[in-house]
Amino acid sequence: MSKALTAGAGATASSPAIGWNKVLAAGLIAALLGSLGIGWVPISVGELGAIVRVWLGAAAEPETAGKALVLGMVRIPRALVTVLVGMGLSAAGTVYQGLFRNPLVSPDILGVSAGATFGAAVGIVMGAGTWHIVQLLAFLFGLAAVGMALLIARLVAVQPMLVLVLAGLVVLSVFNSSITLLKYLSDPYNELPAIVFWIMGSMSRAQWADLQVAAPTIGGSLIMIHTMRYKLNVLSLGDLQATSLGLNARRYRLIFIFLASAIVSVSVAICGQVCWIGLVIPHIARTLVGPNHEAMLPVAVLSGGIFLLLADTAARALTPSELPISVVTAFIGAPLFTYLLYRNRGSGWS
Amino acid sequence: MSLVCRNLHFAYNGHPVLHAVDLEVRQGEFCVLLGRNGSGKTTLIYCLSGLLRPQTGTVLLDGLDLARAARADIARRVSLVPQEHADIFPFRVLDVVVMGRTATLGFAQRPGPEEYRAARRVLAELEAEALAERGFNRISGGERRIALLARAMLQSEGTLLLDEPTNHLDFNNKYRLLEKIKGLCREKGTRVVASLHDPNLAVRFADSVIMLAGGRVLAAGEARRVMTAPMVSQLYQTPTRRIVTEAGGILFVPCDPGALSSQGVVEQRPTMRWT
Amino acid sequence: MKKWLLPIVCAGICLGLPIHAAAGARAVTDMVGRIVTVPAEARRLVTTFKPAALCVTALGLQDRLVAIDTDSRRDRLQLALAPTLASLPAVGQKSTGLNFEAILAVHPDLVILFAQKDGIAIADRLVAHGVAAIVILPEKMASLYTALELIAGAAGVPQRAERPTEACRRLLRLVESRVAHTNPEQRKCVYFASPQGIFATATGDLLQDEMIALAGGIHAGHALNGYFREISPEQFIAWNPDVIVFSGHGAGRNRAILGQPQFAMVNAVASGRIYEFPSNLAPWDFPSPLAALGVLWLAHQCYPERFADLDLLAETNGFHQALFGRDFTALGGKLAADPAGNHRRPADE
Repeated sequence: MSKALTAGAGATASSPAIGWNKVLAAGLIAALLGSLGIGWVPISVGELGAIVRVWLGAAAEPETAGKALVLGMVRIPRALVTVLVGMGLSAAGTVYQGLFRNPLVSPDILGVSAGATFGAAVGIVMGAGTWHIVQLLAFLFGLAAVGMALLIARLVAVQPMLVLVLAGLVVLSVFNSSITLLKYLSDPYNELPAIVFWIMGSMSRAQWADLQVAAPTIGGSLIMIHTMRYKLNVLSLGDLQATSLGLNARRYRLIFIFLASAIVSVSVAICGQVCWIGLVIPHIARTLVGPNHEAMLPVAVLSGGIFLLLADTAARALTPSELPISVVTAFIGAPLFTYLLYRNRGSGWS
Repeated sequence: MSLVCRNLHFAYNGHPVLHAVDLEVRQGEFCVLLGRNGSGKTTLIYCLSGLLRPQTGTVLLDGLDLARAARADIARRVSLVPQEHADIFPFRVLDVVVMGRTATLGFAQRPGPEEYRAARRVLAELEAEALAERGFNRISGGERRIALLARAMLQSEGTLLLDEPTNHLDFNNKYRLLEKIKGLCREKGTRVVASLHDPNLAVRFADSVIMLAGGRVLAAGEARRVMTAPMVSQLYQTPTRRIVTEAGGILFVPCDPGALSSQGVVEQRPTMRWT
Repeated sequence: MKKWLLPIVCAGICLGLPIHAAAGARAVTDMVGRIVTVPAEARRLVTTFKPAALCVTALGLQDRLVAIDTDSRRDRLQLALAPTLASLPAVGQKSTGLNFEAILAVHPDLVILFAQKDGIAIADRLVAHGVAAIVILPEKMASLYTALELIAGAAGVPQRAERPTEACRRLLRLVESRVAHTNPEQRKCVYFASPQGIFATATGDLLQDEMIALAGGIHAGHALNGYFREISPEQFIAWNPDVIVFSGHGAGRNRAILGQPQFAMVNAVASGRIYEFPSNLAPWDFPSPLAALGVLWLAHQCYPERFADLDLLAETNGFHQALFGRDFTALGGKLAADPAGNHRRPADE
C-alpha cells in the first residue's frame, strides 16, 4: 500500500504514518481503559454504572462510594497525568534531538531536570508548607537552568549548537552539585530522605490539581510543537542551511527550546525525574515511520503516552510497594534502544 | 536587474578576509569565482547570500538590500548550494529537495502535494528522478550535489550561489553539473555565482570571472578576455601556459620546469607555497 | 660500652610499653561479628550517628565524648544536657559521609559506627590504625539493648547498661500489661509515614513495625520488606488504617495531601486520628532508647481509653530522668498537644 501511494505524483511522506497514528491512538485509548481497571482496590466493569451514578451525585453505600473515589480521584488523574507526561517528554526529546542534530540527546541536556530537582530540594529544605510550593520552585528553577545555559551560550556566541551543549553541561553540573550540597547540609533524618525520595520519580503524587497545571502547559506546548514540526526538519540541517533556506533559525530554536523546556520542567515538578522516555521514544518513532518530523512527531507523542502509561501501570501494580518509575522505563527502554540501534544499523546515520 | 556588491569588507574576529570587493552579476550570467584556497571565495559567497553581514559595503539583489531584508524574502530570491554535508537523519532525497520551499511556508504550514510534485519536476529536469526515494546519506557525493542543486532550484530560480560545486565529483559529473547550470542560465535567466578551483572549467563555462587573491579582486570581467596566461599565473602563483585548441577551446596548463616555452624561455618551477 | 646501652634501654622501653598498655585490654565481639580489642576503660569516645550518640548519652558517658556526629551537635536534647557538646569536633555523618582524618585527629580510643553504608569498612580501617572501632546495628528493641550493653562493655562500665535497659523494659511492660488482652478484631491498624513522604511507609523489617506491635496495633505495612518503601495511594486506601502517625518534619504537607477527597473515607482520616510524634527534642521513632517512649505514645494514641489515667508527660519526665538524670521539661522539652480538637473531621463529610 505504501509504495503505490508514495510513487504517485502527489504523495507526501505521511501515508504510512497516518496508518500508524490511527493504530497508536486506538492503542492509547485501550491502554487508558485497561489501566483504569488495574489496581489494589478491586473495581470490576460491572460496578462502573454504580460508580458513574455516584459521580453524578447519587448517594451510595460506602463501599461503592469508596470505589468511586478511588477511580475518580486516584486512578483517572494519575492515568491522565502519566499520559500527558509521556507525550510531553517524547515531544521534548524529539525537539532536542532535532535541534541538536544528535539522536543521542535526551531532554536533560540543557540541565532542565537538574534545575527543577534543585528547586524542589530548596523547597523541601526550606520547609515549604505545601507541595505546591515545592512544585512551583521546581518549575521555576527548571526554566532558570535553561535560561542560564542560553545566556552562557549567547555570551560565548560562537558555533551556537556546540556551545549550547557545553553550556548545558556546565549548568547541569552546577545544579547537580548544588543538590548534593543541599543533601549534605540538610537534616539527615528529615529533609534528606524527603529529597532523595523526591528525586526518584513517581507518578503516585499525581492529582487533579496537577492536571490543572500540566494540561494547559504540556498540552499547549504539544500543540505548538505539532504545528511547527516541519520546521524541525529544516533546523536539523544546521543553522547555515536552515538560514539559507529562509528560516529564522535563531528565533525558531529559542521557541522550540522554550516549549520543550517548559514541558520537561512541569513534568519534573509533578513527578520527579523520569528517564529514557525522551531518548528512546523518538527513535521508536523514527524506526516506524522514518525521520521526517512531519510524520514521526505524532507517532512519538502517542507512543510516549502509551509507553509511560504501561510502565506506570506495571510500577504500581506488580508489587505491593511501588517500583520507581525510572527503573521500569530503564529496564524496558534500554534493551529496546539496543534493539533499535541494531535494527537501524544500516540506515545511514552519520 | 543585477546582483550588485559594492565595496565589501569582511573580517572574522578582526581578521580581514575580504577587502573592497565590487562585483556585478546580471540576469542569466554565469559568474565564476577563482582563487587559491583561503582567498575568500566561500566568504564572499556567504556574503552574497546574506548569511554573513559585511562590516562595510552593501549587497543589493535587484535593488533589495540584503542587510535589511527579511530572511524569507532573501531566501525566495537567492538560493545556496553549500559544500558537502551529511545529514544527521536519514531523510529521503525528495524530503531534502522539498525543503527548498521552506521560505514560502508560513508558521504552521507544511509542504503539500503541490510542493512534492514541484520537487519531482525539478529532479526530472536534472535527469535525477530515480534519486527521489533514495536515502540522502546513501547516495554518492555527486548525486548528493545534484540533489542539493535541485533543492536550490526549487527554492529560487532568480539567483543561484554554489560553493565549490565540483569538489569530489568525478570527471563526468563535473561537466554534466556545469552544463546543467549553464543550461539554467540560458533557459531561465538564472544568475549564477560559483566558486571553482579549475581555471579550465571556468574558461569553458563561465560568462564572467572574478579572480580573488588574498581577499582582493585581482581581475574581473568577461571570462575569455580576463583569463590570460599571466593573469592565471599570477592568481595561482604558478607559471601557466595558455593553449588554444583547434576547436577554439582554451586550456591552461602549468609550465614544465626546465623546458623551453614557445617563446624560447626556460620555464620556471612553480612557487611552492601552500595556502 | 655506652654505645649499646642506649639501644638496650630503648628496646626495653619499647617492649615494656605495649605490655603495660595491654593490661586490661579485652576483646569484644561487635554486632556484625567483628572481634575488636578495646582498652580497659575507654575515655575518649567518638560517635558517628545520632542513635549512637543517644545511646552514649543514655549510658551517662557523654562526658567521655571527644568528637560527635555533625547532626547531634545540633540536637536539642544533647545540647540541653551538655551544652559543651556544641564545641566538640564534628566527624561527619553516617548518611552523608564520615571524615576519617577528623576521627583520627582526636585520638579516640573507642569509635562507634553503624553497619550501613561504609561503616564496617571504616571500622576496619580504624582498627588498622590502632583505634578500637565497634559496629552496632540497633534495628529492633532487642538489638537496641545489645547495643547498649556492647557500648557500655567496650567503654569498661558494663553495669551502666542496666539502668537505661530497665527503664525501657519498664515502659514496655507497662504498655504490654494494658494491651496484651486485646482481641484481634479490636486491634487498630496503624500506618506509619516516614520522613521521606506520606506514602513512604515502614516495612516489617524495621523498628517501627515492632513498635506498633508492642503498642498493641497492627502495622499496615507489615508484609513489606526492606527499608522504607513507597506505596501507591490506592494501596493506602485499600489498607484503610485506623490511625496514621507521621515522622519527621513534613507534617503540614502530609496533612494537605490527606485532606483531599479521595482519602476522606479512610478510617483514620474520617475520625481525625492523624498524629505526629510529639517530642520537640530527640525523635521517638527511630532506633534509640527513646523508642520505648514512642511505643508508649503509640499505645496511648491507639487505645486512649486504656491509658486515660496515664499522664504522658509525667512518664516522659520520669523516663528522661532515669536515662539522662534530668527530666524532660527541665531539658526544654514540650509535648505537642493532642491534636484531637484541631484535626477531627466530621464523620459525615
